[in-house]
Amino acid sequence: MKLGDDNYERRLIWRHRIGQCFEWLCRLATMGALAMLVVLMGSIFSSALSPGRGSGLAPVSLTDTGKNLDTQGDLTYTVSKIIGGDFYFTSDPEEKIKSFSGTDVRGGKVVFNHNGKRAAPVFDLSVSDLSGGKEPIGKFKEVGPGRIPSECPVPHVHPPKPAKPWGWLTWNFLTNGNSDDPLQAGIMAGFWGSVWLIGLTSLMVVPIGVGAALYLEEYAKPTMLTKFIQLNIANLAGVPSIVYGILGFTVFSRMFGAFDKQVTVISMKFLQFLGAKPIDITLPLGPVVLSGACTLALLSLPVVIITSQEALRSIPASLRHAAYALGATKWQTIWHQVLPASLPGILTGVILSLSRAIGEAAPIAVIGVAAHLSFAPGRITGISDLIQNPDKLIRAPFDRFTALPTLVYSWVNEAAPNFEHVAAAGIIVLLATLLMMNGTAILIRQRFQQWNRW
Amino acid sequence: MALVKRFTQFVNPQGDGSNAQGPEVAPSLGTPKIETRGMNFFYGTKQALYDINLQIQSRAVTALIGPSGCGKSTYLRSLNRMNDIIEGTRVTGEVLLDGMDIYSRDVDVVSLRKRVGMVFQKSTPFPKSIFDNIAFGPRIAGQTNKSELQGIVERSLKQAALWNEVKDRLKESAMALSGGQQQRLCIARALATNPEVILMDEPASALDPASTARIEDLIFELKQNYTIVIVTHNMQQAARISEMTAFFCVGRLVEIGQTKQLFTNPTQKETEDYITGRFG
Repeated sequence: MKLGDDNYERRLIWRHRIGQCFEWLCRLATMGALAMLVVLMGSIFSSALSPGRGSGLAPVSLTDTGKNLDTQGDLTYTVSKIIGGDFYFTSDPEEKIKSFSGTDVRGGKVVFNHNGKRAAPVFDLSVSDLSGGKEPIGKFKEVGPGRIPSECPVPHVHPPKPAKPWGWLTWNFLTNGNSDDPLQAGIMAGFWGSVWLIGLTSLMVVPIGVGAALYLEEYAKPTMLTKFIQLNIANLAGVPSIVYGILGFTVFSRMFGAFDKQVTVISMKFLQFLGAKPIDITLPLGPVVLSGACTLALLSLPVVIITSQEALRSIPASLRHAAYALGATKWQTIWHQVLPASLPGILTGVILSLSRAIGEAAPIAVIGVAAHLSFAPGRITGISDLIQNPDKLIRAPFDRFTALPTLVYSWVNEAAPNFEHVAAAGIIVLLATLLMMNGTAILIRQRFQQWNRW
Repeated sequence: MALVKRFTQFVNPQGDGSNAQGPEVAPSLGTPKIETRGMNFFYGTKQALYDINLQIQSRAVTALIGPSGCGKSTYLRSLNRMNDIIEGTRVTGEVLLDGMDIYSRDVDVVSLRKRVGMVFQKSTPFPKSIFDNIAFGPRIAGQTNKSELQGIVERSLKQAALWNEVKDRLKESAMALSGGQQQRLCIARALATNPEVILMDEPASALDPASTARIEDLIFELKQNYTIVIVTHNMQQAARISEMTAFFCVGRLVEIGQTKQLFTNPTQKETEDYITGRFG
């Protein structure tokens, strides 16, 4: 085959085309990923921002058909299969009613209690004229918006005021505790629970993880033992989170069942001069913030260790040699040169694993965390409360809590209507918390990365 | 007090007045700064250097030349025990710095490396600011006084002929400097710890001719105050800047002599072959 002959040129052209095909495939894949993201975020946001229908009592009137049938006698309405709420007499808001007369309606005695699910209810209706002793006038199915029979006047339910016209992500949602009423349910307890959880987790994970990586990478000799440890860390990174949940439940929450009852081991009294009651720490810990944080720390440690090791390994040997040549000891070299240079990589690992940890519902659920809490850990209600009772800061890690993913999970499972919107709003709060956390870490990373240009 | 002493030494390194000899004086007349006697070097079981006997003169440039893999870099690194970092290396024989064996038990490697600085082939600025790069050595030696550090940084940079180029951007990343500037920064960094000896491992081999010329000028300046050992592949460079030249071949020191003499009238056949370009 000669350079420049027909065959050669054809091949060149095809090679070029195949290359372009791959380029487009990659482009499509990127677009696909982007589209998925948009669809996902769109569905979450549309659900969270859809107006809350609102529940509550709404007046009922009779539709005007123009036929004036009802003036002849009193019509009796019997409703069944009501979707969206129930009819009540104003005199007795406890008892649902299935049957009422036109006079009742005209007299304003009948109200409709929206359950907040629909804009307007739908019900089956049978109408009869008992005063005239006649046969039922008619049976109508699925009376509701768009299906109002014209033969006779029927009850018309006025829509309630939307309780959340701007969606479910309201200030109340952020400041309320959890509740059975979707309109009242809030995420405050879960948010602060997650904040405490992630704070304690990172306090444990970062020093232990980076320390372990430093030891394995800089100090440990490559013996069989260290190789075995390495292998196991890599395996641990792939262990399902539920397994860590069981571990956390056994070790931290239940403490191997070693205690028959709650035993106070430490009673801290050093804050008594502030008027605080002694802080009792009881064992077993139970489903408290500290057990959750320990569990999540175990869960995220392997990833932190592995990524930190990678980051340390990526520092060129010339950097260490340069530091050694200036008379630096091993620790000085590591502390002043290797660690700062590898910090961006280490932070990437920390971000990745903590992001995973904050979104974990399974291990938190397994250690026994309840979703139905309406207080932040330590019962901290605000900054002024914290200033008055600083002991609450120490109490918080030993207090029961609930976390964002646990709340979202419980709302998704809730049978009552409207909780899906609450869950969507909860997911947005979870994502925002995650973004905030990652944003801080990324800022720190950028700050260190600007120096690194090998 | 030790710091103050070192600092005054730093300010006035010629204070003892013993360096009356200029570079034109035959360096063999001076006392040897470093002396190796019967030195062998092993990477594990593989021997890299055989029975090296070599004297390095104070306040002069000694060039180590030889083909690749001949052991000249290994020899250079063994002078400040940088080879200790590599697992399984071993030295026999003596390496004397001012008459003291640097491989003896009671020598502190860290303080040895402060006395014997090193500049590498690839410039290796720390990923920090220019100031922090220079100040790293004094800082780990315990110097925390900010104004003293500033003084050290300024003097080191001036000595390395880099001050005028970087004085306005000491807080900027050292990684943003050009290759030649980075190498001079590394020299300045080595100078900041106030060493007695500077080891240079092909310091100009990755640089363009102009930067190389600057580095060579710099070496010429520095040898008035420091003992310099330089490994180079460039024989013109060795001829230009060094007083003494040692020729290594396959782990052995073939010949050492005054540069002029070694390049014009080598005593060994191998040396002649190498410098005339017949091998290597």
